[in-house]
Amino acid sequence: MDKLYDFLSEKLKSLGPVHVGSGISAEYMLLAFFPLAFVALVRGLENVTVSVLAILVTAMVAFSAPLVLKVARENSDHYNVASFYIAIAMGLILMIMIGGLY
Amino acid sequence: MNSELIPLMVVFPLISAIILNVLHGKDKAVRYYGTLAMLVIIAIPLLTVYGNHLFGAHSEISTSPQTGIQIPVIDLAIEYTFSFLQRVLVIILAVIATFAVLIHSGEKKASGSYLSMIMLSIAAVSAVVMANDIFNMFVFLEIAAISQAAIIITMGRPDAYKAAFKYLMYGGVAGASILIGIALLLGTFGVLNITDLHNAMAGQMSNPIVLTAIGLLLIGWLFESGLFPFHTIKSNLYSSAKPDVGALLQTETKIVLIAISIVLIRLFGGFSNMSAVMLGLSLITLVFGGIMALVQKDFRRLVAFAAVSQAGLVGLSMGLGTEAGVSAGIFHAVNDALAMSLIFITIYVLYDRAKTTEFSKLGGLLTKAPTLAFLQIIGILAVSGIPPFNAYQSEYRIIDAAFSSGYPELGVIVILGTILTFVALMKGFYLTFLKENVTITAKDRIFMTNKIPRATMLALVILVIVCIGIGVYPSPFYDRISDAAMLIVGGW
Repeated sequence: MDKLYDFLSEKLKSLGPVHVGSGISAEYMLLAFFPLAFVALVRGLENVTVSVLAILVTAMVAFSAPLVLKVARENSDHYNVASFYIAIAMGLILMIMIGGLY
Repeated sequence: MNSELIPLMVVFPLISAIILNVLHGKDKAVRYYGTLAMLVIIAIPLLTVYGNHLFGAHSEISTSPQTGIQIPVIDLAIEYTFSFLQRVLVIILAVIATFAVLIHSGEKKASGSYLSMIMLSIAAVSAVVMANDIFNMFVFLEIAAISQAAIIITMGRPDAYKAAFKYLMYGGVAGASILIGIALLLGTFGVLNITDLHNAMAGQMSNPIVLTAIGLLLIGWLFESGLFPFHTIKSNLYSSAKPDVGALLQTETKIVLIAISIVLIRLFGGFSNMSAVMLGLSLITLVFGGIMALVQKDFRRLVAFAAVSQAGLVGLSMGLGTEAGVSAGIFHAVNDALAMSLIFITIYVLYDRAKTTEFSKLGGLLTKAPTLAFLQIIGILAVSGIPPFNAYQSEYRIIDAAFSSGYPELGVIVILGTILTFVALMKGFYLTFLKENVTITAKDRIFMTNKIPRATMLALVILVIVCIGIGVYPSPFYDRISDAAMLIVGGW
C-alpha cells in the first residue's frame, strides 16, 4: 500500500494540476468503483464468472493508475467533449430501450 | 375537489415576474415588492386545499367499444394535481427562492429583471411539479431552462454568458428529445394527460414506438436533472451563478428530477431497461461528480460538482423503482436541497467578502469568520449524511432500499460516493478556513469579518434548524412521503 501511495503521488505530481491528496483519494475511489460497477453490469452471469471478471477489471484499473487525470479531462464542459459523450449516451439509451440490455 | 388556489402557485409568480420587470430601476419598489411577493408565494401552498384543478380537462372517461381502452371524453386540456408531495416540493422551492430574493434585496442595488427571472423559474418549476399533463410539463421545463439561463446571464461576466449559452444549446437537444417522445406517445395513444396515458399504455410496453419514446424522454430527464452526460453543463451553470442563486438552481434541479422521475415511473414503471439506464447513468454521475468535486481548485466549482453528485444519488434511488427507493429518493432530494443550500449560502458570504472562491487566494479564515465556518461545517456534515442531520436519514434509507431491491453493489457504491462527497467538501473547508495560506502576500490578504448580513443569517439559521429538525424527527415527514411513493409506484 505504501508503494502504491508513493507511486501515485509521484505520478500525480509529474502529470498535472491536481492536489496529490485529492488525486489519491479519487484514485482509490475509482479503484473501488470500476469493479463494483462492472459487477452491477454483468450481474446476470454466473457468480464465479462475475468474480473472475471483477478481479480482472480491478487489476486493469490498478495497472492503468493514475486514472483521475484522464477522468477529469473527459469530464469537461468543452463543446467537443460534452457533445461526444451526449451523442454516445443518446445512442446507447435508444439501443438499450429498443434492443434490450442482454 | 377542484381547489381554486392551485393555479395561483403558477399564476402569481408569473404576474410578479411581469411587475418586477416593470419596476426595474426603481430600487426601493423592487426590494419591497420582491419580498412581499415571496411571502405570498410561500403562503399560497400552505393555504391551498389538496385536490386537482382542471383547465377544461375531462372530468370523466369513457370506454372505447372497439378496443376496450378507457379514453377521455375531452383529451386536450391541462390538469394540476396538488397533494402533500407537491406541497412539500413547492414550499421548499419557495423558501429557498425567498432566501435568494432576500439576500439580493440586501445588496447595494436590487435588479428588477434579475428578480423577475427568479419569479419566472419559480412559476415554471411549480407547474412542472403539479402538471398531470405531459405536454404542459414540457412547456414549463423549457421556461425553467430559459429563466435559469437568464439568471446566469445577469451575472454579466463572459464565463457566465458561455455557461448560459451551453446550457441553452444542450437544452435545445434535450427539449427536442422530450418533444419528439411526447409526439410519439400522442400519435400512438391520442392522449397527453399522464393518468390517461398510464391507462392507455397497459400491455403496450413492447411497442417499438413506445420504447423509442421512453428513450427520448430519458434523454430529457438526464438534462433537466443534470445527470451524466449533462453533469458538466449543469455544474458549470451552478458555479457561474452567484452562490445564493446557485442554491436556488440546485434546488430547482432536484425538484425537477423528482417530478420527471415520478412521471417516468408512473408511465413506464417496472420496465427493466429504463430502470437499468436510470441506475447506470445516475451511478456514473454520483461517482464522477464526486471525483470532479475532489479535484477542483475553486470552492464554487467544488460545491457545484458535489451538488451534481448528490443529484446522481437521488436519480439512483428513483431508478430502483421500488416503493422504498422512490420514497428514499424524494426524501433525499428534499434533504439535500436544504443542506446544499446551506453550503451555497455560506459560500455566497465568502464570495461577497473575498470576491473570489479560488483556493489559491483563500486560507486561514477560521479566526476571522468563525460563525461562517461553523455554519458551513454543519452544512457539510448534513450533506455528507452524518447524524443527527437530515441527509443521514435519507442516505441510510437509500442504502437500505438498494440492498432490499437486490442491488448490494449499488448500496456499497452509494456508501463510497457519500464518503467521496464528504472528503471533497472537507477539502474545501480545510483550504478555506483551516490551512494558513503562506503563498499570498499581506497586500493580497482577504479582509474578512465575522459579520454576516441579517437576511443571510436568518436564512442560514432556518436551514440549520430544518436540517437538524428533520434529522432528529423524520417520521412525520417521511411517512407521508412514503404514502405518496406507494401511489407513484402503483401508477397513481
